[in-house]
Amino acid sequence: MIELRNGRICDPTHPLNGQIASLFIQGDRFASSPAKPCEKVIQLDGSLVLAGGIDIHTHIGGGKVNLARLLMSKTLARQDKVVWPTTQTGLMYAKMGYTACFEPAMLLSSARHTHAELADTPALDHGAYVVLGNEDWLLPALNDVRCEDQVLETLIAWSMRASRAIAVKSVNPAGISAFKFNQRKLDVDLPHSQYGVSPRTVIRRLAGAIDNIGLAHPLHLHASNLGMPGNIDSTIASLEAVEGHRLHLTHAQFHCYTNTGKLGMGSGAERLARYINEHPNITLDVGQIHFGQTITISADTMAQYRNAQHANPNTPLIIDHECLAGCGVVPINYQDKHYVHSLQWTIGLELMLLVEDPWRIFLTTDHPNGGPFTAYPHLMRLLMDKAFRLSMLERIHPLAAANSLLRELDREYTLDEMVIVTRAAPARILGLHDLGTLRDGAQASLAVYPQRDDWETTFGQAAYVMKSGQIVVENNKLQNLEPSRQRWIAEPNFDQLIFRYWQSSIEQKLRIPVQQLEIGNEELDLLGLDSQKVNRLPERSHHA
Amino acid sequence: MRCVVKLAEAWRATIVVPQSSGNRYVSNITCNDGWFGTTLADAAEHSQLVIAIGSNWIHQLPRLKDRFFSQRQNQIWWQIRGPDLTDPPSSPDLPSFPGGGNHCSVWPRDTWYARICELVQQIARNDVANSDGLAKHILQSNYTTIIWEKSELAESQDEFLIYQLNQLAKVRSQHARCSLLALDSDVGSVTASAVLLWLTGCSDVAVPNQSNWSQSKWSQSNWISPAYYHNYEIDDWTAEFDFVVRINTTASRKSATAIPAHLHLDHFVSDSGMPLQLQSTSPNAEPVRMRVGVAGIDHDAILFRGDHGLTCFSPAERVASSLRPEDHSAVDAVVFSAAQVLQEMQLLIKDQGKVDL
Repeated sequence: MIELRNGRICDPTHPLNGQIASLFIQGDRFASSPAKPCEKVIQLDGSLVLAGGIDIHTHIGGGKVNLARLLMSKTLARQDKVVWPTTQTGLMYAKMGYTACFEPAMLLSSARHTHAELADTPALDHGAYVVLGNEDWLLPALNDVRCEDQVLETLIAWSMRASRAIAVKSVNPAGISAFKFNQRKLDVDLPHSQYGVSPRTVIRRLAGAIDNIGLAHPLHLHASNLGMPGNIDSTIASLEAVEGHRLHLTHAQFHCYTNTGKLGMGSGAERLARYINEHPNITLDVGQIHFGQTITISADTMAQYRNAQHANPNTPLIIDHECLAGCGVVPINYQDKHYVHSLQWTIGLELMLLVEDPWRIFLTTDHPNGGPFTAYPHLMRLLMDKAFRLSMLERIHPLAAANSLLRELDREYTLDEMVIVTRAAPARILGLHDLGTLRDGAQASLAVYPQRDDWETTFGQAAYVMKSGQIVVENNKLQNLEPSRQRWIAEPNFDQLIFRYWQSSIEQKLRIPVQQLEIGNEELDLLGLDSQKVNRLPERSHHA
Repeated sequence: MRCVVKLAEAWRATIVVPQSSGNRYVSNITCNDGWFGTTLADAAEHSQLVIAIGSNWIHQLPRLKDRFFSQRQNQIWWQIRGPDLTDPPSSPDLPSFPGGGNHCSVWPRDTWYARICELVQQIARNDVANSDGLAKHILQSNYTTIIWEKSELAESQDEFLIYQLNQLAKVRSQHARCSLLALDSDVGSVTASAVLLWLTGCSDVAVPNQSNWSQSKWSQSNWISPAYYHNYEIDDWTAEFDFVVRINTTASRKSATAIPAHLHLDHFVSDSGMPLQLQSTSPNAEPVRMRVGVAGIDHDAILFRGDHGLTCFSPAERVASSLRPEDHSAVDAVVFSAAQVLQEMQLLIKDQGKVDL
C-alpha cells in the first residue's frame, strides 16, 4: 500500500476537498486509511493533488494523424512539429499530469489502425469515437421509412461494436458526403444534392438514437460550416435540431463566428454561451487557439478544402475516404497579429469564461487543430489569472482586442473549476465512473503539482504522476513508461436480424465483407490492453 | 515493424524502409505540394470518369475491376498507355466496364508529361464548349479519379508527371471533384512506413538521434530523418554501416538475397511450402538467413485496410517483450534468437573491425 502524505486534495467530489490530507492506494485503486503503516510513503508537503487529467478530444491516433506526421516530417522545422510519435505523445501528456485521452475521429474502415496506434501511446488510458453521419449506405435511408428508429439504433450499435468505440461523433453531418457530389456548402436545412437528407435530420436522428440506445456520451457533434463567418446561426440551428436530446458540441470556438463587424467576422461567443447556459442538454469543448505553427486534421473535407487556401506551408491534403468520411490535413500558422487568428483566440477564452457551469464545458485545443495539447498549462493560466489574460490581450491584433469582451470579464477560474473542466467533468460526460476523481475505490490515477509562481508553471510539470496505482513520474523524473492502461469502449446491443438486412447495403458500397470491419476480442487482446466498458445510462430516453 | 523498431532501439540502428521510386515521388509531392486523393470505394462509387494511367493496374491488380468497379453503371474509363504494349485497346486483357464506355489514348511514353501539361492548361480554361477528347470528358465530369499503379510511374521524369497530375486534380477541384489514386501493390512497404511513422515520426529512414537520445524523453523524438538519406537507394550507402540486417515483412517467394546484408530475416517459404529452419553462422561466413513468422500462419496477426491500403498488424506487447527469453510465442522465439545472433555478431565485429559487404 502507498500513502501520499500531506497533499492538498483538489477534487470537488472528494469529502476532503481543499484540505491537507493523505491518500492511500491499494493496488490500482484509492483506498481508505489502513490499519497498519503503508509500505511506501510519499511526502507531498502541501502540493496540489489532482486526479489524472482527461483530454476528451485530442487527435492522437489514426490515418489522418499519420498523414500529418508525414507532412511535418519533411516540411517543418523540428520545433514546429506538433504531431509527435506515439511514445512522445504519451510522455508529454504524462509530464502535464494527464492520464487518459480520447481520439475523437475514428473511421470505421481504419479503426484497427487507430487502436494499434493508441495502444502504442504509453501512460494513457484511451478510447475513440466512431465517425458516423456521412455514409453512402446510411444517408439515403435517413429520409426513408425503411430506416425506422430501431434500424438506425442497430446500425449505430453495430458500428460501435465493430470499431470498438466508446462514443459516436458526427462530422459535418451529410456535408462530407455532399462534398463528394461537388456541393461546396451545406447549411443545416439544405438538402444533400443526391440523397435529399439535411444536416438537421441527421443530427436529430443520430442524437435521438444515441439517447435511446443509452450511451453515456451524447452525440459528439462537429457542426456544419466550420470556420465560416456567420456560422453562429447554423451552430444554434444544429443545437436546436436535437429537440431536447443531449448533444456535445465539439471545438465550439470554430463554430462561433458572426458575419458582422469591420472585417466581416466577429465573435458569437456571447450568443452561444447564453444558449448553452439556458439549455442543460448541451455540453461543449472549446477548441482553443494557441498561437504558433500547427497542422489541422479533420474528416471534414468540405471545410478543409475551404481552409486549404490558408495552408501554411502550402501543402493541403484532401482525401475522400471509403464512402463514409473524408480526410483533410492543412498546416496552419496561427499568428497573434492576424485579425482572424486573434479573433479565434478571444472567442475560445470568451466561451470558457461565459459558460457558467464548469460541468458542461471542457478545456481542449482540439489537438492539433487549435494548437498542440502542450499549450494546456498556458491556457489554464489564461483562465485563472485575469491580469495575465489582459497582458496577453495587448499582444494580439488591436481590432480583435478592441472588439473582445475579455476586458469586461472578471471571472478567474478557481482551482476547483479547473479541476472540474479537466478531470471530473470529462470523466462524467464519458461515463468513466472511476476516473477523474480521488475518491476511495476509484482508479488511482493522479498528478501532484507543487504550487509554483504561476499556474502555467505549476501545471506545466507534475512532480508525481501515478497511473492505475503505478508511478509514472517521480520527483519530476520519468520512472515508468509502461504502467497498466485501459481501453474504454461501449458495447451496445443490437438486433442481428435487422443488421443482416442492412449488411448487403454496406458491403455494396465498401466492396468488402462487413466482417473485415469487425474487430474481435482476440484482436484487441493482441494489443496487450484490457478493455473496460463504460457505464451505460441507467434508463432509456434521457432527454433534458 | 514494432519488432524492427525494438531491435533498432536496442542497438541504436538506422531503420530504412525501402521505397520504390514511384512511391517516393508520391510522398515527395505530397509533402511539397499537398495531395488531392481518394480511396478505392469512393472512386468506384462516385467516379463518373476514371482516367487510368499505364497498364500495371490491370496486370498487377487483376481483381481490381471485379471487386471495385463491376457494379457502377455509366462510368467512363479512359486509359492512357504507351504504344509499346502488345495488347491493343480491344484486347481481352483490357477490362471492360458496363454502361459507361471505354476510351484509350495511345501516347508515346516520352510524351506523357507534355500531354498532361497541355491537359492541365485546357482544364484551367474551364471551357467545355471549346474542348474535346479527354479534356471535354474531364470538364463534364463531377467526380474524376486518376489511377495508376505506383511502380509504373517510377522513371526519373515521372516525378514531374505525377506533379502535373496533382496540378490537374487541384485545378479541376476548383469547379468539380477530381482526385488521385496511386495504387500500391506492395502492402508490406505501406505497412512498414505507416508503423514507422507513428513509432518514430519518420516515414522511410529513421536515424537514431545519438546526441539527444537520453535527454529527449520528455519532448522530441529519439529519431531523425536526415535529408541526405533521401532520394538514394539503400544499396548506395550500405557500406556506411558495420552491419546490415535485411528484413522482408511481406509473405512472398521473392528472395531478397540479391540485396547485400549480413543477415536476412524474411518470410521465405521453401519450395515445399515448409518454413526453413533457423540457421546461424559467424559473420565472416555467408550471410545468415532466418525466417520469421508469417502473419496468420505462424502467429496471430491481422491484415487491415487503412488510409493507404492494407496493413499488417502484429501484437505490440509481445514484440515489446521480445527480448525476454521466457516468452514463447513464435515471434518472440524468432526475434529472441535473432537478437542473440546479432549480439554475438556485433561482439565479433567489434573485435574484428568494420566488415565490408
